[in-house]
Amino acid sequence: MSGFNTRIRKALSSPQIRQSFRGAMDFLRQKRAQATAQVSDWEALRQQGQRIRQQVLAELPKLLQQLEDNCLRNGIQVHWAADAAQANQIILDIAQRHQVRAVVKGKSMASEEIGLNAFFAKQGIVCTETDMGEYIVQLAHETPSHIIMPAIHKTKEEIAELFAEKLGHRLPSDDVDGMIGLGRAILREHFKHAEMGLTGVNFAVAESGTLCLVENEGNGRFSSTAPRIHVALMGIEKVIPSEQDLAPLLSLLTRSATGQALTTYVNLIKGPRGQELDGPQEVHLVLLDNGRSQMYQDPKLRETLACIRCGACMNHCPVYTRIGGHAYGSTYPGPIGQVVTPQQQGLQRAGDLLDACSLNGACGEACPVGIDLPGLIRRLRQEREQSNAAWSRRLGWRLWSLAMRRPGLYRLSQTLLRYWPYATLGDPSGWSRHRDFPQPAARSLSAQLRRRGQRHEP
Amino acid sequence: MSRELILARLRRARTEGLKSAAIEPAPPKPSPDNLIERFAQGMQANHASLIRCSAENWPRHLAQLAQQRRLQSWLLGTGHPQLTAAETALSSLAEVWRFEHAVEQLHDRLFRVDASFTLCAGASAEPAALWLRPDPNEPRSLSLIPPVHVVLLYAQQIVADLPALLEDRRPSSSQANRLLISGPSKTADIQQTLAYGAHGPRELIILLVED
Repeated sequence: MSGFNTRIRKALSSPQIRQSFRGAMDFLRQKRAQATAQVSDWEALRQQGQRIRQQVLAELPKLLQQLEDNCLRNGIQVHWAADAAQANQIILDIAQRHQVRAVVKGKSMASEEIGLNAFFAKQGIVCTETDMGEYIVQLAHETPSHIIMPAIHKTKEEIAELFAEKLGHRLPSDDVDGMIGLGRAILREHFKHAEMGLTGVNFAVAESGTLCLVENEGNGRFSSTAPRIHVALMGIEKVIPSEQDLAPLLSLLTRSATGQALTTYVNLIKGPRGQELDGPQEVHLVLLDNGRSQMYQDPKLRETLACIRCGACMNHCPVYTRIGGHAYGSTYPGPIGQVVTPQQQGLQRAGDLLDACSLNGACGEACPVGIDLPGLIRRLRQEREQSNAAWSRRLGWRLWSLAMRRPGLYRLSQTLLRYWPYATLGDPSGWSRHRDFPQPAARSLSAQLRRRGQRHEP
Repeated sequence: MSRELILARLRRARTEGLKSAAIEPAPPKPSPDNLIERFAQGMQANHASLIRCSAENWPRHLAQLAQQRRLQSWLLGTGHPQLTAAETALSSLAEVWRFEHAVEQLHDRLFRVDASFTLCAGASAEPAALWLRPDPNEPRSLSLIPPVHVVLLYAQQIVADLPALLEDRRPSSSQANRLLISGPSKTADIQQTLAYGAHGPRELIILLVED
């Protein structure tokens, strides 16, 4: 993740990025606030969602086996991938077995996580993103900057320019209907001819072997309906026990993500075309681990796997709102990305991400399934400090902890810091580059209290 | 094998602390009053159109719709008497096709028709949504590919909420797909500006039969 600070500075100095994200986050936050107010008892619903996700974590291996059994019974072929490379290879094998030359993709962050498009491109197979936001991002050779609204960093003007350049149609930038219509017409041709459709999964129901896809556009429906083969890719944590769990989780997901009581489509897939006249001949489910079973080992870090990928944490994060998704340089940006990425790539490589947090707690309050995101960030920061902090930082913490436990030393350090405040937050840390350095008070708090005749209890 | 590896690693983890988490009953069900009004309001808020009609006159409303909107070719499923009534109503005004064979034999027709007409398996008032269970009679493409989707819904099919709708445990062994649909296809992916008809139908029109 080197260069995180450079990317942050670049984002902060771009008025266009600042404006795009500020506008989009205000919009999404307001919509979520309205949607949660419609529910008579949002907190009760949240607790129900949290309990369901906890039950999933309590029984994860059992539920995955149950899901596998029931999918197989329904005619869905199940594959297990330990990491990104394996997942890519599994999907490539399916494609090659059927001489697939073109793949249409419904929106899937898991496929971004494994870098599927780039891998397939090297094998000469074209993957076309069909979620409108993802399509825009793909045309621009970029990556999503938000997990729900991938092209949120782009303005209408930029998209109109992009379409003119890449698709050869110049439309006025205020003609959003026209631009979507153009995308629709082009992507329908792709849907007609692609041999394989790849989608993500929002929830997989263990009890019935059903895959649930949640969306507004129909890209997921098309990708799982028109091509001969449908491949669904999901992180192993997306399993849920029963169909009864769907209603509360759907309500939490769509209200938190886009402020909708329900998305346009909720698509429940139970297998390939049986007696029907349409639908795919084959359905494959790829279960992706990629670091998740590792997260599962630790009782606290395991909470990461309760996530239902609604994006509310990033929408409410003051840091994300200012720097945008690309600055993080990771597949998942914002608070959930700050927690997932270091666990997948290691603290050495991605530990920097943990600094982009003021521990204000907004993400934890917004999370619809009650994940303690601030606590997870703190926990990972501690691990980072213990494992690979620079010697100077480690020494600093040692001294701090020593002074905190010895009143004499503490008083001495307070006196010293009044004359030499830069020792803690001085220029080397960069803290004062964009902030005025606070002037220490002439007297310490305890000295002031003593003067007023108040004494601390021993 | 990755399967055994992943499962073994998951089983190795200590999960005792989590075991006690029991699922408590769902919050109280919403009131069953005014189901029709609440459904209608919700659907209209989602940009779907609603035409209120009776068991006798819905075919006439359907014909009017075809005429007013100049919907000149229609795709219908098979097997239900309502579809025969719809075909009769439409046949003097428009071309009517039936989804009788596998989609491969129909491909281009599916992309060229102006509208489709289907039944549905139910609906919920809050959130407002239609419940479709596509089957060999009414394939799933009917509610996805034509630009206008007209749905026949009987008022007594409307239940209070999603849990009630999803309780529908009718055997679905031959059905690979079930759907909730709450409006026309839409997207806000260009600078949060709402546009209808992203990939699915641009218009969702509900013929609500009240008697």
